[in-house]
This record gives sequence, C-alpha cells and structure tokens, in this order.
Amino acid sequence: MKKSFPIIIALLLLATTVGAAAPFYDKGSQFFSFKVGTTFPTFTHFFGTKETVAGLGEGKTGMKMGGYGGISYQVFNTPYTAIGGEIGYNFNFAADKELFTAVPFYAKYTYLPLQGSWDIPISTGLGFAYIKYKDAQLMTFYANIETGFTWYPGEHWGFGLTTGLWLIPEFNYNEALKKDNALAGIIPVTVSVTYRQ
Amino acid sequence: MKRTLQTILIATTLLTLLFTSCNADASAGLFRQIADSKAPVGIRYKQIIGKDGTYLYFITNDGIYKSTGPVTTSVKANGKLKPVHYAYVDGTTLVYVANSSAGTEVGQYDLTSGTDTTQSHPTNAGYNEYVIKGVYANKLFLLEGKDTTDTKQFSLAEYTPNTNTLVDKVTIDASAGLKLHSVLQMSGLQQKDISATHPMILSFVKADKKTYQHFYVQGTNAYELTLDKNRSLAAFTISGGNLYVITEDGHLYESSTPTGDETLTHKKDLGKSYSPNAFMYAVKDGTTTHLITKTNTETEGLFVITRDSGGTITTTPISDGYASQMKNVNIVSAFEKPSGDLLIATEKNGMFDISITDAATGEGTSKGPEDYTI
Repeated sequence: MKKSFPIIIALLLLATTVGAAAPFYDKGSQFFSFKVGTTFPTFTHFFGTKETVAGLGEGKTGMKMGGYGGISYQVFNTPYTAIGGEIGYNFNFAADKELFTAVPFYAKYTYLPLQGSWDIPISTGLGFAYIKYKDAQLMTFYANIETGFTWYPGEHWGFGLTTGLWLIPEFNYNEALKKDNALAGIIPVTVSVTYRQ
Repeated sequence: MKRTLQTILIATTLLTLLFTSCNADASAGLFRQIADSKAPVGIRYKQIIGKDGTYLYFITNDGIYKSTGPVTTSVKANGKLKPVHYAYVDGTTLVYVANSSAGTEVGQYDLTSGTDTTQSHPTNAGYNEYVIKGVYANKLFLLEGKDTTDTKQFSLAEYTPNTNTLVDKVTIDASAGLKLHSVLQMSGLQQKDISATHPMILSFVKADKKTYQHFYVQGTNAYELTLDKNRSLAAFTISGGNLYVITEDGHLYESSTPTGDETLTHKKDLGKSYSPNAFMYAVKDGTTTHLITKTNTETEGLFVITRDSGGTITTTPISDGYASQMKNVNIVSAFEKPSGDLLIATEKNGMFDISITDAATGEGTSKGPEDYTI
C-alpha cells in the first residue's frame, strides 16, 4: 500500500504532463453530470474535547454507510480548468437507525490534467450544506476534494468513477452546545454519467 | 448591475441562514448525538409491571413477557388489532387491559396454569359512565367519567377480578373542567402498592388550558400540591421524610411528606428540562440526599441533585460508573432490587442492571443491555 501511493502520484504527474501537451477542451466547453454512489463516514473530530472518532457504526462515528446522488454543471474557463457547481442529497443511518441527511450545494473548481477519451478531473468544492439528524438541524459550511476518471466512448457521453473527501463542520452558537463543535469527514465513492459539449 | 445585486442578495441570504440556523432546540451537538447513538435491541420496553419469586414481568410493544434474567419468554403476545395497553401482576394473576374494536377487555391470565379469561368493561357503582385512562403496576385503575349525579370526576380504583368490578379508592372532582396531564410514580417503586411511602401524583390542566393542578395521593386521600409558579411536574420521590419534585422546566421543589394540602418550597433552578415521568431515584447518604435524575439532555448519562443537611443544593452530571450506559437512552421504567440496585428499562436500548455505590461520584456498575439478574 505504501509503495503503491508514490506510483499513483507519479502516474498522475505523468498524466498531467501528457494532458498538458494536448488539450481536448476549449474555453467555453461545458459538461453536465449526474452521479450516484455511496458514502463512508470516516471520522468526526470534536473540538471541545479534542476527541476524534473514526470508522463506521456505534462507538465510532455512529454512522453507517450511506448513499449520495447529485447533479453538477461546469464550464471551462481555460482549456484545463472548469468552474461550476453541484447540489446533492446524502443520507446515512445512525446506529440508532435514525436518519442523518445532508444537502450540500457548492461552487466547484476542476482541473483536468488528462483529457480526451479519458478525463482525470481533480476537483475542489466550497459551499454550504444543510444537515439534519433527529431534532438537530443546521446550515453549515461544506468543502470537498475529489478525483477520479471519466471514460468517453463517444464524443459526448462519458462514464466515470469518483472518490474524495467531504468536510462538514458544525459550529454551534448556543453556549451549551459549543463543546460539541465538530468536523466530520466523509468519503464518497460515486459513479457518474456526463454529457459534454 | 442587476446581476451584482442578485449575487449580493443570494450571498446575504445564505450567510444569514448560516448564522441564524442552529440546532438550539437540540440537547446536544448534531454530530455528538450521532456519535453517541446506540443500536436498538430487539425489545422495546414499555413498563416493568412486577416480580414474583421466579420471574420479572414487563410490557413491551409486542405484548407481555417474563424473564428470569438470562431467559425471557412471552406470556401474552399482542393479539391482532387487540394490543395490551396496561397490565399488572396480582399474586399469581396477571391482569391486563386490551382494546379491540369490540371495546375494552380486562383479562386475567393465571400465571400458574396459563388459563386466560377475558371479561368486558368492568362495572363501577360510583359512575354512570367512565373510561379507563390508565392502569398502573401498583394495581390501580385511573378512571374518568361521570359519577352517579352526572358530575365529571377522576378516580383511582381497585379491581376485583372475580366480580369484574372496580371500586373507587380516591376520587377527584373534575367538574371545573380538569383534563388529565400526567400520572407520576416514584422511579423504581412503581410496582409497590400505593401507601404513604409509595404515593402517586396526578396532575391536571385546568379549564383555562394554561394552569395546572396537582394532587398527591397516598391511599384514600388526594392532597393538593401548590407551587409558587404555574409549572407542570416531571417526577417526584420521597426520601428522609421529604417530598422532592422536579418540574418539566427543571425546577426543584421540596416539602415535608404531605399529610394534607401542601405548598412546596422552591429550591433551585436546575437549568435542565425533563419529560413527564422522568427517572428520579433517591439515595440517602447519612444526612445527605442524592436525587438521581434523567434529564432531556440525551448525551448526559444521569444528573445528580445533592441536598445536604442544611438544605443546600448542588448538581453533578454523571456519565461514568453506574451511569455509563445512560447516555442517549430513554428510560421508560425502573425496578428496585435491593436499595441502590436497579433494573432500568429503556424504550429502544434494552434493560440495564445498575448498582449505585456512591451516587454523587458515579461509583458503581452498569451491566447490559439485556444482561441483568432479577
């Protein structure tokens, strides 16, 4: 595992070099994606107690594997970078079988070092998420970083696989709840269908 | 220019939402609640109704069960469209009340032979008409109806299975438009027959729908309890000759054990909130009394209110020791084994067996869920 990580990085850097030589997209190109998949609650860090819980289920993050669906639109501002946004819906059941839901909506910036029949998008997103669990609900910030690949068998339609890390903070302004301020990390794994033009 | 204004408007709206929305009504942070969540066990407890020499009996959402501790078996499963709402153990007879489309049925299940007989709505000579509002583990029925002069009243009544009759033990005049709000019993001692040491409190909402009226019932008398402010009650207990009452909005009151109508003394704003029928259990330690309670703060185990001999009140949240498994559970019933040892039945998380060594510090043990002895 430790050996494979540098190899992946090297391949990505190589892809960057290759991609840089032959841009497929033009400024103004755009793509529209639908994605569905699963999410793995990975960790929750509580700032008040400096405690970090990691993993799925009771005694850890308390959340189980969940699901996510989203739509995104992006337009290229240079041949290698695109800007746009995404909105989605995520759910995870907690250990007590109650539902945790998150509706992230955020601006998205994507860099495509490799593009053509195979795209390798590296994205970062920043925005907001509405989160809810039992009687607790709040609007909070949302950030993510994602990467993956998309294969285009034809000119317009492509199929992709994406993963990354979402970060969802919880800032409570109620004095009694400040000790529970937290940062949750969730790993999504999604498949996508993309239309580009 | 128009687009700039739209952008500013959207950004302002989002930021306003961000900084004004919060889970202020919640008892703990959202992710903290999730991290502390517990997987429900198969049994959803409603009430522990009694114990004989061999078994502990309790009602669940599936029916009535008995348990030796290690082994739990069904006594009476809920019939289709005829769920058991209430039950108690009277010697070797299990008395239960079920509602069906045909009306209320009162059944008697012989715990020795397994014979099950049902009878229709019991008669009560004190009423022209009545409905059963509740049946408690202390073998009392709470009735609401119109007496023989067509005056509205509530009563606590004793049931005689052989004659299928109810006889009022204490009545409360409701002609002024009282509506039942809550019926409180002492946690862990609900199964004891009503007496001066095991009383009940009946709370009503007056006709104005805003103010409460509370009655302390210790057998055949109903004494009115008066508070300095209009508050609904959550729980009470008796210890060392004193009555301690907590309200739903988290205020502690006390008085000597009532022998007549009583005005309670306000002791402290606890800064907590409680649900009706909250868990409250007293442990006496010399001249100090510890009142162990379960607040609405889900992520807190138990909350101990300590009253010293001078009447000074201090509070301590306890989440370790005997309270170590009381986070994120909803206590629905309790049963006192030897004093200080309790079985705690929760709505979704099973039964716990706790032993209190030092109420104030949390010293003690907690076993479970579903790992208990009776």
